[in-house]
Amino acid sequence: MIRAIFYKEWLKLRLFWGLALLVNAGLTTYLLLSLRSTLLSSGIVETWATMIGRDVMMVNQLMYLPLVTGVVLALCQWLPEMQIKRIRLTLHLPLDYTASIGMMLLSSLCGLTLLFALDATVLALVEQAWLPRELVWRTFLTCLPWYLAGLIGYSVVSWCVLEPQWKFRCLDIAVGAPLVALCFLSNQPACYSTMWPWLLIILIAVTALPFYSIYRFKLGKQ
Amino acid sequence: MISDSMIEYDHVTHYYGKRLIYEDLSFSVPRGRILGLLGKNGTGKTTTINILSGFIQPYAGSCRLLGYDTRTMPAKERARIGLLLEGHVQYPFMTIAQIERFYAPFFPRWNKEAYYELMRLLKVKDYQLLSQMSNGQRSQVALGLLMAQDPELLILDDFSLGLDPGYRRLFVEYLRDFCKRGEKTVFLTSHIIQDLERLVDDCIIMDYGKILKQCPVGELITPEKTLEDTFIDLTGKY
Repeated sequence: MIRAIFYKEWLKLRLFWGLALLVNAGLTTYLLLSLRSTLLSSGIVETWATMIGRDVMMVNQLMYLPLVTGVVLALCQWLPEMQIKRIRLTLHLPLDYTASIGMMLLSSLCGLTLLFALDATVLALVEQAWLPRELVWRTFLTCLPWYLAGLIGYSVVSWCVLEPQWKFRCLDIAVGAPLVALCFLSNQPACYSTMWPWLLIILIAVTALPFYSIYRFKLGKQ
Repeated sequence: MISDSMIEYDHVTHYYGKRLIYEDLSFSVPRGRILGLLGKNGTGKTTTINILSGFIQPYAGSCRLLGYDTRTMPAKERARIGLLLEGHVQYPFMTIAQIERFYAPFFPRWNKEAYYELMRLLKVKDYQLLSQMSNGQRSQVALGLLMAQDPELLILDDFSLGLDPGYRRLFVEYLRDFCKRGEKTVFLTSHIIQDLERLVDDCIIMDYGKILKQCPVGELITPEKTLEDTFIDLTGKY
């Protein structure tokens, strides 16, 4: 039954995942080519000095991509389910709704995590050929809150889309948007190096909220 | 849990905000019977289906399916209930084969052959997307899935919505044969009263807020009057 849920989500979202992989691969390739171009034109010593002395990580173009990816995924996954209340098909399955909805959320969160991990891994593996380990780690710490923003953004938008009533949906957006904004308080490189555990706690908390929206749907708040 | 009444709708009252839909509505559907719910638009037919399906909690009263309160029914018992949503709602991004493959693991009595027999009749290919089908073809896919599930109780919300006369007749004939073969219990709503004449054993005619008539459909049909005539006499022309 669980495999059937994953199968359905794969059929629904395979085009999205293909496009997301292309876009993320494209941007990562662009960032690496830009870095290589800078290293070749300015020289390795000059580039390292700029990155360390002026705190420049050369990945700023990546900042909002994980969030956009997470938001678009949530819309692609849940809007078809809420259209003509198609979610009733899932709620009628002989499976507890926490399991069915949970598997749907888990499939997307795992997919996003894999995508972001792939991004980060490719960046790190290529950069380590040109940059010292400390700068490679610093790049990862700079990108980490943006990846977490993608996961939090996905959970918040899922919560909002699944909410059956518009007035509460507006309230959810008003509460959820600041939570996502917490990931973008500063674009100083690696400034979240001690704060990212708190973002992880926020992520775990917001992942529970879509279940509350479904609970309200089942109560008939429509 | 074995019960002779497959559906027990007990003193149910429901409001949408301050608007009363109906008050103290009660009926039951015995095992093996096909019950049709008739009423004008806005009398609460879909509300009744939603309460039966557990998608709405009634303001007052209780509803039992297969002997279980719908609010606390164990999830696995839903495998015994086939549900057809208004508009034959399904997953448009799936093909004929994919949707069968998706639903099969959920239902222990799944009969793949029953589904594909109906698909062969439609002459649709396994790889055809539901989004590329007509309303009639989609309705047959929904019916095929119900037949493959082989439930004891079927709940059908406005099964004839959007269907032309040809597909409506096909749907009614297939459904009637399927139900009679396996002693199925059916609760359904429809706007097309002629379809109900051919299909149902018992009938409930509702008006705003109350039941006007509940009896075997044979009692409502005479040589001079069709079911539609009786319906209009009871509810008024408009």
